[in-house]
Amino acid sequence: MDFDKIKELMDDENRDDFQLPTSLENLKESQMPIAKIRKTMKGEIVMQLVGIVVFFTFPFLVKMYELPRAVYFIFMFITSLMTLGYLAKMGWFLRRTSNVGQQTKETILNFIHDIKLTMEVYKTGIIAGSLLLPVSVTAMFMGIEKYGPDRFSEWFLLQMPTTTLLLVIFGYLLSGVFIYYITVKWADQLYGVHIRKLEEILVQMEE
Amino acid sequence: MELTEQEFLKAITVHKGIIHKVSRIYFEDAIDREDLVQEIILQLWKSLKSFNGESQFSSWMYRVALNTAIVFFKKEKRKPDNYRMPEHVQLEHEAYSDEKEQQLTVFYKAVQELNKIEKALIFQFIEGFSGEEIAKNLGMSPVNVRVKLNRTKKKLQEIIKHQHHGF
Repeated sequence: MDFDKIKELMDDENRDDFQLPTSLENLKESQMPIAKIRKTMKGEIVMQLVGIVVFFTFPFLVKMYELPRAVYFIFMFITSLMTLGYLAKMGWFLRRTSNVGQQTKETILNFIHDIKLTMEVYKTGIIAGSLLLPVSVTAMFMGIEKYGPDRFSEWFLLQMPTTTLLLVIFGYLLSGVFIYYITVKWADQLYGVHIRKLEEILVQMEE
Repeated sequence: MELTEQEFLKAITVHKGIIHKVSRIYFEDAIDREDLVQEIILQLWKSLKSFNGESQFSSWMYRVALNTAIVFFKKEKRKPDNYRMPEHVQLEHEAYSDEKEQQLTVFYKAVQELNKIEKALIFQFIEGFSGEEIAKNLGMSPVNVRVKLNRTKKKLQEIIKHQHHGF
């Protein structure tokens, strides 16, 4: 095969139809895997902020017993602090730009590292926030006055038969495992596949 | 490097052939190529600060364009684009193309069978980069580049032969 001839043909190829944009405004958003994760994260930031406002407003709209109300606020406060910390970290990630101007191998390694790191922050934030939520939600539903006597205080002070207590602990752990599994599986399904593809390219370089 | 948006667009337009060729090498489908072109322009703009003027602007463009193509994955499922022209229609079209265009079409079609690193190797080789330069750009050893390049050239010839288009 005559590669010089190919080069000549490539250089001479008619590019009249090939026009670059006259403005960067009209360009589509980046479709890089990391850009997609960051886009999801941006949506997540908005959702979490709205969630915090809604959850904090709730006790002001209904009459609640004192203990569940206090527990609700304490747990929501901790969850919000964790969420805000996670959002601040996410904001930092969103401002980071992957550099594609380096050597190819370095670029791929940095991309893998950035995607893994971003996914870990994402997963940790979701899991940590979700694990505290069942207690707040229980306080919210069991502590509303109109649903009868303060059942939450008994529940919170562990005044229940051992079997019920074990069932509650088991249920909580089960929901924790379920949240963890779903989050990890979902993130891996959506973005882990890109990491594997990039790792395949690294193997192609070494083969 | 600090450039205004218009200065940047003017600078890359001078070397738009690089973007065109990289997109042709990496994707056969026109919409995938268009997506890649947009992504390359975005990455060039975002990476502009990393260009310190040590190398030529065109060399930096080659590097960013190739790296973007390597880490860019086309959309897996896009229904309307999954349609491919029946083989006989494609052949008929090829028969009417002039010889040069056909040779290039055959080459681009064969290149699609290569993996992303092989595409980067063959592209830089065709563009006249030395083994040392290719090794430096990819972050591989010169020996590895030489071995892989020879293997890729043979593979490409085999693919073309297999497609009954020796030239």
